[in-house]
Amino acid sequence: MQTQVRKDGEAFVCAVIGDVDMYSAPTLHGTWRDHAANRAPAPFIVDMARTEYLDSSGVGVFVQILADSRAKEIPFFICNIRGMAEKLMRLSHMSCILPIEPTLDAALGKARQRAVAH
Amino acid sequence: MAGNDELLIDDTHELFSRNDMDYAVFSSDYLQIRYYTLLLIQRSRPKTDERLLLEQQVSEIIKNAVKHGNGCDASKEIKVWYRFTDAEARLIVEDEGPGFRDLEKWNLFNRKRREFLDRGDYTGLMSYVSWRTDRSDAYDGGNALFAALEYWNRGVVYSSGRNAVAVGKVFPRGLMDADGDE
Repeated sequence: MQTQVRKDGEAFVCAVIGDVDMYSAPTLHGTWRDHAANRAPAPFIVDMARTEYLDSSGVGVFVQILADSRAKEIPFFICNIRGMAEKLMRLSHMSCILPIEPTLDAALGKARQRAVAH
Repeated sequence: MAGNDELLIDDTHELFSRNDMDYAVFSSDYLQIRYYTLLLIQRSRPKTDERLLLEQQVSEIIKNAVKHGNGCDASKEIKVWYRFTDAEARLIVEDEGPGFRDLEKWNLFNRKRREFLDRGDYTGLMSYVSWRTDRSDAYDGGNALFAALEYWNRGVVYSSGRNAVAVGKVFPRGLMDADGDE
């Protein structure tokens, strides 16, 4: 798995390419930590369009990012979760608490709203 | 089929029957967990998304045995009995560890989590999204068993020694890939 970060307006979009599992979850967490340390308070959006597989370690990293983003007041969204990853989110009921948007455009829109509100 | 309410302890549960199940033994090599999982499920035929979900669910159980049961000690083994057909998935995994001593605490934790979910109180739910113990590390999601209880619709049952777990799932009709993918 690798992450590719690009700027889109005020937000930074982290495209995840490959499986987010027990071996690669630390890489995603590291990308978040780098963002929080160097680019806050710009919004952080994780784009899962190119991810087919997610496990509990990956879900756990999303929960950690959510808690950290709230503490640091950094807007955070996840988008394009589909297939198996979406099913896992539903099974674990994490879709109730994680800030999941259906598309990147929707996530960018939410990020802009949060920026205006601030 | 609805999910289960809690983890059970029952050596006599039907999910612990090893009749007609295949058997494998693996060393506790953390880096091989997904490989072991693929070996086990290679003859299963759910459609793509469901196959990946089956892989993930099996992988979590293998990971628990390798990491939390055997402490990734390569000299320790995990024993696996498994059966995957078009109708069902069954798995029994036994490790050499001390067993899931906090099982009752986990059930209590999950009961509280369910209460917040049922009330739609997602703020309160935030305190119950990750089960942590003093042995948890940063990348133990602490959420695998929540999904397991929902996924394994025949139950998640531990042995009285708590170092073996048996799970089962009945697949809904229409879930299998007609062409197979063996």
